[in-house]
Parts: sequence; structure tokens; C-alpha cells
Amino acid sequence: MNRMIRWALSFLAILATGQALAADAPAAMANRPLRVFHVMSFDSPWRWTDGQLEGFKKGLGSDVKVEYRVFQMDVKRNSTNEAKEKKGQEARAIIEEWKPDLVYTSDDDAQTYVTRHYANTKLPFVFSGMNKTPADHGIQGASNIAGVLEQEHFVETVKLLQAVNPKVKRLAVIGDDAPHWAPVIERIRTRMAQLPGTTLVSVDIVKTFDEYKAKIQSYPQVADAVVQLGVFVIKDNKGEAVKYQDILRWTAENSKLPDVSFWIDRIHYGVLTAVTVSEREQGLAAGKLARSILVDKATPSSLPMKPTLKGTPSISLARAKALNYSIKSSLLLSSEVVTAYEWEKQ
Amino acid sequence: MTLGLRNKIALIVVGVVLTGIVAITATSSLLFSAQYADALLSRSHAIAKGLSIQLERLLALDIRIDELIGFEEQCIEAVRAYEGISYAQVVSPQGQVLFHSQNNRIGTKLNLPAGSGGEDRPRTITDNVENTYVSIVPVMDPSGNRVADVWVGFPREQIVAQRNAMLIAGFGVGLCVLILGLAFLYFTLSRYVTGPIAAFSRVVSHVRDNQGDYSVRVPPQGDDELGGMMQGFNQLLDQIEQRDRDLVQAKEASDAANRAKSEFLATMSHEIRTPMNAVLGMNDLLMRTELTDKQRRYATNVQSAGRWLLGILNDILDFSKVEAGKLSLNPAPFSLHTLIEEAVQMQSEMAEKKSLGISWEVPEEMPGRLRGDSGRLMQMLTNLISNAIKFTEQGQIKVSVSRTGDRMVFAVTDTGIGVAADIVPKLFEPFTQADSSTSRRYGGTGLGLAIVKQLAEAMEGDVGADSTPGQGATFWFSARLEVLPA
Repeated sequence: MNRMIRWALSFLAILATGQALAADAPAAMANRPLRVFHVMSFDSPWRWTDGQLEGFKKGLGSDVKVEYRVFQMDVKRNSTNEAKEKKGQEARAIIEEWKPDLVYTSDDDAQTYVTRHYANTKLPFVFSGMNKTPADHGIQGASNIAGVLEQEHFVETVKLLQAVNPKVKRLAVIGDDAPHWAPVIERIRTRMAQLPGTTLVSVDIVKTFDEYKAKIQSYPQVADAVVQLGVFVIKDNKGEAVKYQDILRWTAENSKLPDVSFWIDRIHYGVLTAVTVSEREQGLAAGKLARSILVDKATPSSLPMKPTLKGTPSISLARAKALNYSIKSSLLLSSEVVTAYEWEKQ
Repeated sequence: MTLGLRNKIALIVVGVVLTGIVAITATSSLLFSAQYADALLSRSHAIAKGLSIQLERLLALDIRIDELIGFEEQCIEAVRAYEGISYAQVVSPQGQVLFHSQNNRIGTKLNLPAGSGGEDRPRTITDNVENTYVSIVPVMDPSGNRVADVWVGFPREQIVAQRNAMLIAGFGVGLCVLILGLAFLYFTLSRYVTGPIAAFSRVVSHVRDNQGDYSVRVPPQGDDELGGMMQGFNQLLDQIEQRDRDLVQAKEASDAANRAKSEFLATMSHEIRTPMNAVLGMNDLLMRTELTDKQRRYATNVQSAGRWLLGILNDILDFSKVEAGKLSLNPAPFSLHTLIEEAVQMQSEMAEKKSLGISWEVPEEMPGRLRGDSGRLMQMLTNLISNAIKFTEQGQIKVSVSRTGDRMVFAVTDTGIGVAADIVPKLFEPFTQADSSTSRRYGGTGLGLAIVKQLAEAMEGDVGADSTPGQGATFWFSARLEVLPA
């Protein structure tokens, strides 16, 4: 009888303790900083990725106590599907273990290998820098996913180039075979209609550096200018990845045609001009979405997925001088001007 | 041209306001012009500074000033964006125009005006060639060397034009205000000042032009000072009207009392004179009887005293008749010579008693026959002659006649005691003699000359006396007498 009473009392004590602990858990959790897990498709340090994260933090707000954890997929080096998949698994494991309050992903590979796996779960996701559509990634309409689309300022960039060199009428597009360029190319083709008198003479996807060089050297016969997409996963003839900085340097030193791109980083590496997509604006917009979810308790699916609109005209004065271009004062005054190649600063 | 009060006030106000408008407008325009010039200079300086900063930004990109292209667009934009700026240009230290808001000026060489070059600081100059004020700001390259100057100019005539516009606007507005103000002033003056004053003036004019009519009043004019004054004036008229009524009543009462008194005296004088005549008549009859010397003496005294008393009663009666308005003249033809002669003759015995000579003179040119009340004339002459005899102890008494206009002047001149000139007017007042000593010494009622005055005035004449104390006197009276053919 006494033993039974002791068992009963012990059971009741355990039950009470468990309830107390359970009651304290939310309170304890309420006092800890929010956990944000950032998965970047590319690597850091890099202007594009670092700028997005910086913008994100600003958009979330300095009044919100946040603990960040950053994971780099580095798809420039881990360019194969297998490598990307492996990186994706690593990121997902961290999510399971660390249990963040929100996951922030940048650029398309992170969506494919991480975000997509959590569609319609309770864990909120916010993305930025996504060139493909949400439907392409299989996350269209997901209840827990919000984000900022990245759409290049193609028409504005070409007009800026034509302000520098009014003779540019024929464009050649070149880029690597990363899957996220397909929607970009599609958008370029569609928006050519906004550039009457200008034609798209070729769209070239290259896999090797030699292929790239050959194309660049052939363009003066068929085109007036080159549109540079991404050249991050181009290999040399040994199958090794060639740094895109080296590719762009070669281009600046050897190409006789003016070229354009859509990111400031390219301007620093010798591309002549661009109306850039601002990485900070992308991150800022994503940070504001995250704040709406974490602070204002909005549901991610209620937040529309839109691209940022603000672009910055940029000019490489070093490349202009190499091409013997005199840039009008008005363009210089209204643009972000890069006076020297990045490799000359080092 | 006489101006009414309202117009005078309006003119004064117009003068004052106009002076104020001119002064304020002129001062404002001058101040505004100065401030406008300062503002334009500040603006042009700011524009020049902005262009200079833009150039320095471009130079910081390691571009030389001579490598820049298209900066004229910035100059054009600056001129277009800011009203009043006539041009913007970039000039090399040597005076070469590198960029200009007017394309045809690019590449030209300037004749640099004094004070425009060689300085590394912002400054302002007057360009007499372009007739502009110019703000100049240097452009420094990253090494700190001055590589160009930005000039921003605005025309001087702009300031003049603004000043003139302000003058015109100021005067225009001022005139409008003046006209509106004047109209308002006119209305308010009429309503509150000149209207009430005009009403007051009308009443005053009515009172002035209609002697004795105090029936009009100034209409009520409100509670201000003018209204108070009008009210006071009305009260004054009330008082005057009441006093006038009282005076009229008093006068009527006085006149009635006077008339009653005179009638009483006339009646009583008659009632007194009748028994006096009876007494004198009986005494005369008594003196014709046989009387002792003493009785005759007594009777003679009674006769003298009685006649004297009767004379006084006659004077009183005559005076009372005149005062009672019962004196009437009986004009009839008479001989002037006869009148004078009889008057003198009647008094000659009295004169002889005092050893006084008495004579008369009627010049030949005097008319022989006249129409008038000879009895009253005789009475007046008799009165003057008897006074002359009374107040002359020795010497002569002369009666003369002369003519002044349509009036005959009768004068009695004596060598008696005379009278001071300031006392003469009093002599013709009733019951008045020269002084109390005269009354005691010479007796008399003091009515004789008063009666002469009344009779003379009844005959549309006058009385008077010319005298020096101790040297005799000439008493005269005049009368309007119709001259009859001889």
C-alpha cells in the first residue's frame, strides 16, 4: 500500500514538473533572439551575395533581435547537379538541427535544392535574387514561401549602351549553361520589341573557355555589342572551372566590341556598361518581407512575389577608355562610374 | 473756389495717403530691387557652384577638363531650370569657352573683364559687354589646380524690369486702395461728420436768417462728440426759445404796465391839472380885486407856485402821452418866421428879467412856409429857450434855423454854464439832469429835453447838444417838415 502511494506521488510529481517545463518553454523561447538561416546559392565574400544579406538585415530592422547562420552552396565551384544536391542536403540538415524561425535563400540554386523541399510546411521561407519563376521552382502558391524576383533591366541597359555608342544595333547574348539563365534569355527575347531598330543576332550558351573566346572573337563580324549573362560555370579544357573574373578580364583585354551586363560586379571586372539590378535592393525587399512574417505575423502566401524596380546606371570608364569611347558628361554624372578594373586595384 | 469740409478732409487724406503710397512704393521697390539682386546673385552663385561641383566630380574620375564632352547640356539645363539666368559657361583660365548654354558660343575666346580671372575663389563681376552680373566659381582638379571657371550670368535689366514691375504694381494697388478708401471716406464722412455738420449749419442759418424763429432743431446725430454737440445746441435753442418767450412776455407785461402807468399819469395829471387851473383862475380873479400889499404878495406867490406846478404837470402829461402812445401830431401849414418870432417873444420877458439878450435869426434861403405841427414845434423851442435862460447867468441867447437835407434844424445857443460832452446823451433821458447839484440848484423835472427828444423823433428828426463846460451850449433838434410853396 505504501509503495503504491509512493508510485502515485512520484507519478504526480513528474507530471507536474513536465507541465511546468512545458509552460516555461514558450516564455523561454519568447526571450531568445529570432533565428534566421541564410542559404546563399553562391559564395562569400562576393559583392552580389554580401550585398543581398546586408540589404536583408536592413530590411528586417535593427530593432529585431536576430541570430544569423549562413550557409554557402558555392555553386560556382559545386556546379554539378550532384554537388549542388549534396550542398542542399547539408543545408537541410542544419535546418532540422538548428530549427530556425525563418530561412532566407538567395539566387536560384538555393530554391531548387532547399526551398522547394519545404513548400507548404510551417517553416517560413523568404527568397531573393531568383531569376526563374516560382512555378519553375515548384513553389508557386506555397503557403510558407514569399520572396523577391530578380528581373534584369535589359531595355534600359541597351539604351544606356546606345547613349554611349549610338551605332550599336546588333546584339549578341552569351552566357554559361546554368539553368537559371533560360528565363533571362526568354525575357530578353520578349523585350527586344521595346528596342525598335535593334536586333538580337545570336544567343550563345557556352560550356568551355575556348568556346567562349571563339565566340567573342567572332562577334565583330555579326554584332555591334555583346550581352554578358553569367559566366560562372565555364570550364577550361581540363574540365576545371574558370573563374569568371578571369573570363571577364580576358574579355576586357581582347574583345573589340562594347558589352553590357546587369550587375555592378561585372562592371568592376571590365564590362562597359549596365543598368544594374541592385543586390542591396533585392536583399532589402526580402528583409521587409521577413519582418512582415516574423514581427507582423503575416502569412507568407499573402505577400506578393514581385521584382525590384530600381536600377542603377553604371559605366566602366576604364573599359570606355580601352574602347576609345568618350562618355558624355551627363552619362558620367548620372551613373555609378568605375574608373579602374578590379584587378588593377589589387 | 471754396471747398466744403468733406472735400477738404478728402484732399488732405488723399495728399497724405498718396505721399505714403509714393514713399512706401519707392522704398519697397528699392529694397526689393536690392534684395532681388542679392537673391539672383546668390542663385547664380549656387548654380555656378553646382556646376563646378559636377565638373570636379568628373575630374575626380581621372578625366581631364579638355577630355570632357557634352557638359554644355548641364549648362543648358541650369539655364532652363532657373528663371532669370541668361547663360552658363565654363571658361578655361586662358579665356577659352569650353562649354556654354548657347552652342554657338562654345570654342570662342572671351575678353576677360576686369576682376574675372586669375583667382581661386568665387567672385562676382559686372560684365558691361553682356550687360550682366556674373557669378564666377573656380573648378579645381584633384590636385588642387584651377583648371576652369564656371560663369553664370543674369541680365542687369532683369532687376530694373522687376523693380519697374513692382513700382507699377505698387502704385496700381495703392491707387486702387486710395480710390476705394476715398469712396469709403466720402461715405463715412458724409454719414458721420459732414452730414451732421450740414444739418447743424442749416439750423444755424435758419436761426440767423429768421430773427426770433428758434423753432427748428438739429436732427439726432448719434452718441459721439458731434451728436453731443448737436444735442447741446438743441438744448441751447430750447433755452433761448424759452427765454425769448419769457422776454416777450416780460416786455409785453412791462409795456402794458408802462402804458397803464402812463394812462394813469395822463388821467391823474388831467385830474390834478383841472383843479390847479381852477386854483390859478381863482387866484387870478383874486389878484384883480383890491388887496393889501401883503395879500397881493401872497397871491402873487400862489400864482407863481401854481404856474410852476402846472408847468410840471403839463410836462408830465406830455411825457405820459408819448409813453402811452397817445401823442399825435397835427401837421398844418405855418410860417417859419412867425414860429421863431413868437417863441422868442414868449420868453423875452424871462430873459429881460435876468438881463440876458435874446435874439433870433432865420436865413433868407430858408423856406417861408412849412407844413408841420407848429404847436409842438413851439413847445420844443420854448423848452430849449427856457432851459437856455435857466442855465445862463449873463450874456446872450440866440435862436437859429438851418437846413440839412430834408430836415429843418432848430438851434438855441447860449452863453451859460455849458455841459460836459459825456453827459449830453443823458440829458435827453427822462428824469435826468446833468447831476444832482444841477437839479437842486436849477430845479426842473428832467422831462423837458426828454419830451423834446420824443417829439423830434416823432417828426423823424433827432436831437443833440454841443457844449463845453463854462462856455455855453447849443441845443438843437431837427424835424422833417414839408416845404410849401411861398
